[in-house]
Amino acid sequence: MTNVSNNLLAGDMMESSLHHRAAHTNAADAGVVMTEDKFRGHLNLRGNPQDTAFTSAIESVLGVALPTTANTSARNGDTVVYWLCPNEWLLIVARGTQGQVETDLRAAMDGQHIAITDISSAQTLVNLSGSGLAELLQKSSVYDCHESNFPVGKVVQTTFAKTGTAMCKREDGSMDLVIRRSFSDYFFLWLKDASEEYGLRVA
Amino acid sequence: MSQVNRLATGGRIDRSKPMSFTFNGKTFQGFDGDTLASAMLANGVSIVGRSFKYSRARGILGHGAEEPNALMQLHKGNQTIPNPRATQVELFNGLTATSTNGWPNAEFDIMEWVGKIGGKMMPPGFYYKTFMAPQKMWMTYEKLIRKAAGFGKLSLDPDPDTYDKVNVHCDVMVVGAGPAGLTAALEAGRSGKRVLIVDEQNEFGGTLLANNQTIDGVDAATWADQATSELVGMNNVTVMPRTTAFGYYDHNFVCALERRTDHLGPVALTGTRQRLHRIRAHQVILATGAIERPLVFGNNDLPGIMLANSVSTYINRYAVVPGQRCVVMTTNDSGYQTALDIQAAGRTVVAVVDSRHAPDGRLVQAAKAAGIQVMVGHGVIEAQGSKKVSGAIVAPLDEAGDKVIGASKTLSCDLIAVAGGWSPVVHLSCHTGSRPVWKEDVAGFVPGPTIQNQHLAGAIAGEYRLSQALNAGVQAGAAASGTESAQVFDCGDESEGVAQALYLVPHTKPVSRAPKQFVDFQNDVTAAGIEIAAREGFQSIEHVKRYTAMGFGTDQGKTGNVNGMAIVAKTLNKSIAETGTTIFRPAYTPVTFGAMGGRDIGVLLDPARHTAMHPWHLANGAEFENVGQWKRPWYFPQAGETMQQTLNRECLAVRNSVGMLDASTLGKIDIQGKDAREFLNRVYTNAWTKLAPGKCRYGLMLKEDGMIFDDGVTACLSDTHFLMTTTSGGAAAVLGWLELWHQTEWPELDVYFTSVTDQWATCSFAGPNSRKVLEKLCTDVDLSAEAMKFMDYREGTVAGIKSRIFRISFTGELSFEVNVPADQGHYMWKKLMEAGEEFGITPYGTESMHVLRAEKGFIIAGQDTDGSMTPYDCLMGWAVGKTKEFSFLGERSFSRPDTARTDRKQLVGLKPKDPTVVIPEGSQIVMDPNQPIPMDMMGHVTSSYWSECLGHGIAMGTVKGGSDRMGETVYCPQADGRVLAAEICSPVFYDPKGDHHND
Repeated sequence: MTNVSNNLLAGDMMESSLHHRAAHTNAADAGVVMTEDKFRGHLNLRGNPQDTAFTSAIESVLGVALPTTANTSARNGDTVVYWLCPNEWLLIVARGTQGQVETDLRAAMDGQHIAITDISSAQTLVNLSGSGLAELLQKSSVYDCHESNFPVGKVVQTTFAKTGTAMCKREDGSMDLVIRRSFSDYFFLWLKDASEEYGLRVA
Repeated sequence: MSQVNRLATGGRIDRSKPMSFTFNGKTFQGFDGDTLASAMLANGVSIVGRSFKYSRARGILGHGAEEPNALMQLHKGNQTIPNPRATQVELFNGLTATSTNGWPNAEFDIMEWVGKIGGKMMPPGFYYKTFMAPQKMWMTYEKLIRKAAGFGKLSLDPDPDTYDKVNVHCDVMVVGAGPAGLTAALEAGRSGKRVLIVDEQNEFGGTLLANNQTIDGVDAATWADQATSELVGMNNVTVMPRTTAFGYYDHNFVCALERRTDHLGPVALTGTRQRLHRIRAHQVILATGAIERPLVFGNNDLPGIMLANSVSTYINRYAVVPGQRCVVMTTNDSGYQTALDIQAAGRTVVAVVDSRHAPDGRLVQAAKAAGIQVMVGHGVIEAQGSKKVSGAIVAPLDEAGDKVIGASKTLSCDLIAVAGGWSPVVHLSCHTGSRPVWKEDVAGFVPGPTIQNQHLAGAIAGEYRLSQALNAGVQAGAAASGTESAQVFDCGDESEGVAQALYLVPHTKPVSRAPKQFVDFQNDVTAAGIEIAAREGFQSIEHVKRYTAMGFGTDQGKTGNVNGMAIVAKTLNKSIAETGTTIFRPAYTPVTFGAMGGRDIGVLLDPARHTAMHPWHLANGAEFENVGQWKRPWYFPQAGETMQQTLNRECLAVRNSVGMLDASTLGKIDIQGKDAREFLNRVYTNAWTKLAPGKCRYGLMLKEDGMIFDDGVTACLSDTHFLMTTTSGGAAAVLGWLELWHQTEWPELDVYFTSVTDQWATCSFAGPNSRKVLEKLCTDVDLSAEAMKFMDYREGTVAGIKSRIFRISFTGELSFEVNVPADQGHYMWKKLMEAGEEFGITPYGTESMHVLRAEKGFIIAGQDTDGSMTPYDCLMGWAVGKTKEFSFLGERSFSRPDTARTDRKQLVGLKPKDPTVVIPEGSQIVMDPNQPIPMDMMGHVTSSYWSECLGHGIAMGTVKGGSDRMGETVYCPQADGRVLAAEICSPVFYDPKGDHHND
């Protein structure tokens, strides 16, 4: 009836949405490697990028300039900011720091019309890499992920098979994907199926 | 049986790799590099199947996608493949093929005699005309007709193969790797563009592989190999053989089917059999070539009559000469090449019969120089033979090719190679809506104007000579890449005579009396049939097509269409340009359903969404229900329980102690901004101005028409921060609705919406002991009835986790919801189960939730409402704010006469007269069970359950004017003849005063 096994039951107080798939490993020479960067802090940010008080507050707290060009990102160590739409961003921060970041941002933007929403549990960050990555993405996404169209740092919100994702190309050529929690198992089932010809390793 | 028609040398086959195959049960030998068709011809197989309508013996006509006759049934059992063309099936060792029709077999076919005797009585529209009456017999007729006619059969078993799809992007896509496609791809590739070149054959080269011309001094096949190698060596070029571009759609979206393992055997041992490529190209170059036309003459469908170009291909590429004594019938110079090829292969050319009166091109001279007899101003007017051609009747024709002007004579032969001119392969260009245009000088339809970024190169544009095609490819490649090139190829083929536009070769008898002159071989459409259709009033070419079936079937009229159109034009006394052409739709050649489905099958067909507690539900034996894409626990059966017993146990646990529901799937929208409150005022029916922080309120959302759209509880977290909940299935639609109104109508309101459905896991536990359970885990919130009232919200710590606690109820019992970040949801659920153990806490699913809420008369939007129910219809006028400063969505519609009338269908409770009865949901409600049909439908049952705590069935439904019918008896007639009686009552069956949830 379902593909979820009972090892789901393992785990402590925190369970990522892909925790039950952690046991899935494959040959070391697998063409696709999936690494879940679990429990990162995810904050959804809304605000007016024309308002310098807003943009400067972000920069002062995060130490990185807010990306205001469509489909771009900014990165500072563990902190990443994805442009999502003209007044919406995704901040991904170090595990457990999202509460403090939210507090600091709200303090720095006091009185402004903004919204900050903690969605750390609503989604997870997954990195895909390997020699089979390009073809895997071709099977999974209608978007053109070729380097000529998808440079490092670009962020694209699109579909991954039948779920949605925000994808960001990393410097090593790998791809970060944000996957919604409730779709994680579907994501994994698709990934496992699509990477069968290359081999899949869950790091 | 030896390969009687195989040449000792030459061709691109590997004689060191013999391969064995069977056709209709007989075993034959071929070689690696053969197609099934070339191997059959090598072995002298002439009859490959029976025709559709007249069951005439048919042989191989062509050598590629155009083949109308050689449809095969490949392999056996669940591996079987219906209707591939033998001309496109690569031979492999052990291949098994049978004809797709012929009964008892293709060699001896009973239907042939029916066709012969009854042939004259089977005009176009025969089936429509003959089997019209009586209408009820059609189903019987149809079965017999299909058995007698039809082609290949599908296996009824699951397909053992794997198919998938990929998305491909490129700057320049080249369709076809013949001479024009190769030079186009080379030019584009050298420019550095991302290039994709596809070709349906196993190796690149197209006509070059069977061409004995030279290109800049290099022989054509060698040149093709060199060009292909160069393309393969370019990192920016993707080379895909065995890939058919079968559909060309708007915005240069092209679909192509890659056959990855079909050439290896019936089932892919590993990986994917076929891959569907969904290609998005900035520029598309169509270099799809042209298909040679047969000529229409008497008995032109006899096995042994083939396209001249195909005969050359079999000789030069496969080292097979499909006859000993050959007559070539041509209207242009290309037939002479075939004559030269046949002679070079050591077989006899009886004559070249040329309809032109003074041909003088380069090839004509060459043929004459080679001593080949040329009969100018003649035509083959009829073929002789029964199951195989044995002679050609030739006669002198007038210059126009309209009539026979002298005595005929018979040439003995076993092969007639027919060169009737060329039809550009315009199919793909048609797919985007471009209508082909007739080009008089090349006697063919070429692609018409297009709005796509599309380029044409080679024979598709009527550029038939090799040097023309090569040079056109260069220019198309340059145009598509934004480069320039002066490269010109020399093939020494400048001198070519003018072709004659001849389609139907005249006979001494009129068309209606002459032996059958076939136009469309696959559908048995004859010249006489087309004339009849035109005479019966079918003048539009589209109507002629549908009446005669010309161009239907798997070959889509690739060989027959133009001849048929010419005959229509002539019959109507119009030009071909005037009558025009039908256009082609995808697919160019048939595509497997497996490839269309790809991997979106089984568990991957549709995403299953899971909550954080899903593993617990699995481990505890939940049965699941689909709610939108969510898998929600439906009920938690214990060993030996029926579903009803489970529901009874779960419901009683809630009523008597405590039960717990996973409510994580409810849609949740985080709303922030100083105008959040005002926004809620506008989208909900009720007032939000005075809702204090820490309080919750139920809200109804309407569409503009005043009908209920969604509902849910919204909590005020602070004056500028609210948390809205929606139905599980309505979450995305509600968020879209809010954004729509904010972005388009009220952008001045400072408010932001963020979906947090996946962020929060929700444990909803209900029952008189629910407070006690929560008190064990939460010590920093005063949970007493006085301190935390019904519809209150608090933040607190539960089991060590920072939580949002709501005192809300969908069961009518004292009830709490604990929301925690979903990463901790499973843990929280387990902690609450542990804490509730002493009270017998019972997990329950959506079905018990439905029963419990129905006992309280709570509606489920989408079950008890259907987009035609107002709040008043649902007895929820209490949830409509009448004094709000700003209007709310839907309010104005309440004053519409139809919305305001009092006899609308209204929500009622229904108490079955027989307490043991549960009325089926969906039952129609009538007032008089004895009224003759059609009865007056007063409404229907929307929800119905067994209520264990009340001891009788309960139901909710809608009844016209129901609010004024309390106490009346209604009836629900059932399909099985029972009539279930019920009394209209309040929908609140349980605890009408609400004492329990206020405890």
